[in-house]
Amino acid sequence: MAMYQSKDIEVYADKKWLEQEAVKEREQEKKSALVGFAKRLFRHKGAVIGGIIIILFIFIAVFAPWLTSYSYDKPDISAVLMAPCREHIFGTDEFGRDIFTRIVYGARISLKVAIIAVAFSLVIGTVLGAIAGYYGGVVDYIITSITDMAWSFPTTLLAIAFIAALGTGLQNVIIAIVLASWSGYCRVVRGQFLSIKQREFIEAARVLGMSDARIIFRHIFPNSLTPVIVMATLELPKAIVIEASLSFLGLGAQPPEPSWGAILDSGRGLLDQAPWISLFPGIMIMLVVLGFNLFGDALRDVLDPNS
Amino acid sequence: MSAKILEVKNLKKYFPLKTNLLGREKEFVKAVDGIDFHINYGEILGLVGESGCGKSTTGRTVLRLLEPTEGRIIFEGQDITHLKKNKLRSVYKHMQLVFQDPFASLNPRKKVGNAIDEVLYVHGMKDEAQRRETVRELFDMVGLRGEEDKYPHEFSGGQRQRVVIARALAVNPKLIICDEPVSALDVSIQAQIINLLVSLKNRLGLSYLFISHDLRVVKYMSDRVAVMYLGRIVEIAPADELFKNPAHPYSRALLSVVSVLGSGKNKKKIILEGEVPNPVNPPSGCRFRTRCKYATGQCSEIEPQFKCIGNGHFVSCHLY
Repeated sequence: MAMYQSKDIEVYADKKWLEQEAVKEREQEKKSALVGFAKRLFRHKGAVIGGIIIILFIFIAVFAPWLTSYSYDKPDISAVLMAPCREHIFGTDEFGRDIFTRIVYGARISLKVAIIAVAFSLVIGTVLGAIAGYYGGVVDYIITSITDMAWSFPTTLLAIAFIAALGTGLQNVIIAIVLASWSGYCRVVRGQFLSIKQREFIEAARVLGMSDARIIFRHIFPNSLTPVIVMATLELPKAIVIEASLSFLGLGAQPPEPSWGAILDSGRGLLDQAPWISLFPGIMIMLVVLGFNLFGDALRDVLDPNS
Repeated sequence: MSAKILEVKNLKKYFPLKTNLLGREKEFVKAVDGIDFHINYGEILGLVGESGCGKSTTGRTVLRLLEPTEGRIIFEGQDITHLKKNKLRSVYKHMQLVFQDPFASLNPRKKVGNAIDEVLYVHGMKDEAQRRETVRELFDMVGLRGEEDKYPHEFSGGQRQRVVIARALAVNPKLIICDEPVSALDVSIQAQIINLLVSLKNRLGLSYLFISHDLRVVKYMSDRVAVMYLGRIVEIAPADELFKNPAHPYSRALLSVVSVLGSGKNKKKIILEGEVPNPVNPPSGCRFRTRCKYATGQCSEIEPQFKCIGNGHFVSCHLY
């Protein structure tokens, strides 16, 4: 009898303990969705590797003047076409300019172009997509037609066409990238709006007398952000590549501006004598694009509620 | 006492199915095809029928969430059928909706307290302290004291439905359209929500349009019941009367199921033959004739009109 009792007590204690654990767990869950998000992100290998590359890239771009003692545009006849060595770790080009310095400053161009271009195309695409998805009808028809036309061209080709019309230069590169890539956001946001608009809580908001603007910005938009964020992260490397491509073709950054694409192009004729001129900017473009793509994919995995 | 809070006249809602080359609609799903009913102040009108008969469409069209194809909706003596969007807001102060699925009808990214706070703000309560107090009262009223700071996913289905009810009450409505408010919930929770709705009705003097396919719930809740079949109301009667003496053959079949389940009496279940006809091409004459065992030649030719067979009991059938 006594034995049973003690066992019962044990079971009871067990139960009590389990309950307490459950309560603790729930409280921890409540603490913050953000903490959980960060945790999952840190556990994701792609996110960590991509994140490190992105942070390094941003660090280089921001602190460029402190990372090198050379100038990115002053020629130095005493150091023409030097192979990588202790003084010039990435070598020098045909004007004796330090490739490492040019790449470090080039990071600024890449980052600036990518961020500005993505920000503008994000805003334009989101606003148009939201209008098309929410109002539907003729407005949707017009916006969708334009979007589909823009979407059907390869982005780089479209950007080249715009540059041809606008003229060369970094500012026009940004405009060209925006004009060539807003349609992607528009499609994604329109799709999100179409599906979320149908949900009952939007109907509820309408019955509760809320204005269209409030429903769009306070109710639909916050619920459609996830894919837009992921998309923006994946569009950044695309913008970097387009900028590099245009500069490679001589349509973007003009000499002596040290865009990675331009540096790559400047070494093209000297590949057999000085391969390092083209090699290092190429590696940098690859690394940064890889970093953003890894991070963007990781973000998609982590933000997807089904994973 | 018998003043009408809501009157619906010849309401039709057609959904276009196909459009021809010129963009004109050729075929329609006749979801609601000419229905008339009214709700008195302080009354619960039950609306029953099988899935797809147009119950929910009726509810949404009355609220102008769907634009009516034809007919008139008169709320508190005001014709709201063609009211402009910005004027509808004042109507929504008095007429609210409780949804079927409490998982879908709350914004997942908003704390429930904030969701209701927003409603109060939109309807002109600008003082924050006053709003907080009102939110607290509303949560108290639906039995969720002190749960304002949670997200919808932290609640169970029944609790969420309470939040949805609190949100509907925030604007101080006179009429609430309940669209299958309990059918997504466990049976044990259903009773709680139903009792909450009834007690709120008594306390606040509300009227309900109670849409449901659950006949037991409707029987318990409603003062009067309307039976819908294929976009039409076939019978309206006081609840007791309808459940005692269903007149329309469809109502009889529908209600025979409840009698068997509920009272323990050994009535026979009437099993309907055949399928519900396609609402794109409903049968001519009486819509129920294809499944009705009393159908005669007259039924396929002449559409039956509503007839009063006494005691506020209306039926549209050639048998009477």
